[in-house]
Amino acid sequence: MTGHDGHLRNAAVFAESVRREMRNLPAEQVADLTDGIEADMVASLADGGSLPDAVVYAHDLMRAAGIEVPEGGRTGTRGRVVALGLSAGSWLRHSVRGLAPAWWVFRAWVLLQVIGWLVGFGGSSYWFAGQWGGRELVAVLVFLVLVSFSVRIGRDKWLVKGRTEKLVTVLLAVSSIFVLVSRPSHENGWFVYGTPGISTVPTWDCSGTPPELIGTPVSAAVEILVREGFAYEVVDMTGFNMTNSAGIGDFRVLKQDPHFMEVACGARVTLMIDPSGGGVQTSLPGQSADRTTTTVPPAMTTVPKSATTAVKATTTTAP
Amino acid sequence: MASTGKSLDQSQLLKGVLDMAVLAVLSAEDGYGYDVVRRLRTAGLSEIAEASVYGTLRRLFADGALTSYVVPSEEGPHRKYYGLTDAGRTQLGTLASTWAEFSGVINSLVIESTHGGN
Repeated sequence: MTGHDGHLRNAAVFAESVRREMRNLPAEQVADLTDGIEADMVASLADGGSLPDAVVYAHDLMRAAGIEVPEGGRTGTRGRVVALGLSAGSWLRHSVRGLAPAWWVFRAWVLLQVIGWLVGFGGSSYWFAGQWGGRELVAVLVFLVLVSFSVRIGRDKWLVKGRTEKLVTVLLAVSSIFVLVSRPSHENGWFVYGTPGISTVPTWDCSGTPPELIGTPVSAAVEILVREGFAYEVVDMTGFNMTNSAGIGDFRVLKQDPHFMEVACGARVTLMIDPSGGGVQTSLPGQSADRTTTTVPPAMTTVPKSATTAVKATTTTAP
Repeated sequence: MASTGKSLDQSQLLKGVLDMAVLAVLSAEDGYGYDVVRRLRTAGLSEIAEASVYGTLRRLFADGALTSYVVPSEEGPHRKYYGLTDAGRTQLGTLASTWAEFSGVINSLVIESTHGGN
């Protein structure tokens, strides 16, 4: 906040306090007495002056104007405390007004979440489109429309005015609390509506019951992961990345990390296999043991030389 | 400056002559509220209270001694300028005459008392 802006804000708050002190006078008289007071106060502050006591100032102004100061006006310590509290409230109100653009954008985001939730797209791990599943692009477009409406309503008082605006503001504020506490949690892996960790709604909501990948061939597991939009990698027992290795499609998945119930859809899943063959079936039921990988996505056809050698070595020793 | 009995309180003295001081300032050139305050302070009335000046301006305006007009500002709120009306110039003349007579009496009293003791 620059000095001039600060003077403007302080002068506005001060003028409001002075007018409040004159609340017993007719509105027209108050307007006459205080017209131009902001400009005078800004000039005074710019000249190195300080904000005077609003109560004393108002009374001096009234006396000098030939208006009798009403009996029972707030004077003394108690009156000053009350006036100070009211001034602080005015200052806060003026300060909050400066945050209006941020509020316009924020309430558009809240509405985006609410719409996503009502339509039932489900949650994602992204803050921006938390209730829009994997439809981030749609969410962006809707968000832009909502922001434009929100700005017009806020800036131009478009469609929503007076009490309706206050009602909408309250509803949005309540909705924002709901949305904020309903965010997908990365820590506990549960997508929840309400307090994280308490809801019974699991993270897996891509479609139906989460399939069990452990024990299934890598080729089948990969097919499921690709279909559901998960990123994945295949590693051996030492953590060596074998995602692009040829001939791993028939190996059974020994371990999945993390489990579907622990991550949101679209997250990265690691499948662990044991290429050495210990306790691992290298063929699917009804298929020959020498079946080569055919269901692994084309991206996996680029095979590191070392990895290929390792897989070939293990597949030949598998039962 | 506090009124201690040993010194004159400028703010108390001003009460009777503030109208005249404000009219005198505006007779030279129109001005807005704080501009009047600044000119009064520059002239030596350092103890003057801003609210008293602004209230005086409103009262003189209501009495018809001043005219008023608004000048918009690009940098902030509008400024309310005041200028003397014909009635204001007449009032200033009357007040100035009264002040000259009054101050003359006081001056002679003070001078007499100061030099009378010698």
